[in-house]
Amino acid sequence: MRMVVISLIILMIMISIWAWFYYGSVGPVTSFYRDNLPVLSDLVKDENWDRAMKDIKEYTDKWYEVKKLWMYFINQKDLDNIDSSLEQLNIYIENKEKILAQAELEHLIVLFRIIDENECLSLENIF
Amino acid sequence: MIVVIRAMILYAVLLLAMRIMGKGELGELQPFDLAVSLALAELAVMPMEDLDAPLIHGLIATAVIMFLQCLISYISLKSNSARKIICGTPSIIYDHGKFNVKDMNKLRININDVLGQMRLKGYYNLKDIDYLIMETNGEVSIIAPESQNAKRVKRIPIATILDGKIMYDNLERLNITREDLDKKLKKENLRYKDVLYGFVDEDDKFVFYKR
Repeated sequence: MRMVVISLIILMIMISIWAWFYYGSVGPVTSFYRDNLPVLSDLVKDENWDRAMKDIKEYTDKWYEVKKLWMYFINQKDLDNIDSSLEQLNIYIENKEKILAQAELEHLIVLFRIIDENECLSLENIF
Repeated sequence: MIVVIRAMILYAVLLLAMRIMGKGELGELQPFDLAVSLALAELAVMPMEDLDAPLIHGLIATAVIMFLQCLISYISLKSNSARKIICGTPSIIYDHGKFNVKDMNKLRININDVLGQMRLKGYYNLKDIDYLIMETNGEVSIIAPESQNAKRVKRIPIATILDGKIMYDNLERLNITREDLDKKLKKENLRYKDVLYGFVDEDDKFVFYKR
């Protein structure tokens, strides 16, 4: 019985870590980007480059903060894809490449959506 | 270098998991235990090989397997019916000149397998053995007299009480009623819950081992 309790405690700790990570970080962060990146896309569409530049810097800084925690839980390839997409987006906005920036923004939204979908507890993910 | 550190961490986790799951995993491996050990090994190898996969995925999966295995072991320790489902029951394949073909078919073993196992145990003639039993871990036990002139085993002991639980199937096989068993227990001043192992030997004598 002692070993069942010990293994149950270990399992509960693991599940709590996952729940803390998903509900405390993945959920809020992905919804932040999924809500704010379309706004940035509108700024790019209206060619409001100064505001877009300021926002993308803010989002990039926030991402590198978030990544410090996510690297322990999320597959490195998914994180690398976001890194690469954000870097490209920075360059496109700096160079005022409207179409490329809009396309990359859509790509970035999809990457965040994929992470959210992969991490959430759903029947699709289980099976 | 990352692989080395990851391998060290996973080695420690595997070691801890095996210790928590108990020596049963390493000793008499039931088919189910073997599958669990292989699953654990595979879980440990995946994050070792794939450096992109977070280590915690392997750790969580190991924790789940470890918990389920501890739980199943505990349930099978406490419940005879659960033990029967999880581990199965030993099968008497050969009993004093008679083969149990029904059980042989169920276990998918043929006469060549039986004779091979007999030879591996050092017996060459069926006449020399009294019982051949297929244990739940796949091992074969042979019950035979020590020498040709030694007394033959008439019947293997049949359990009446296991871990405080009455084996009603065996009582029926022995044509013993619950009242008969209660009388014997009363005579020994025992309650059936106090008995770890009770059996009827080949001379129809009741034997009880207390907890």
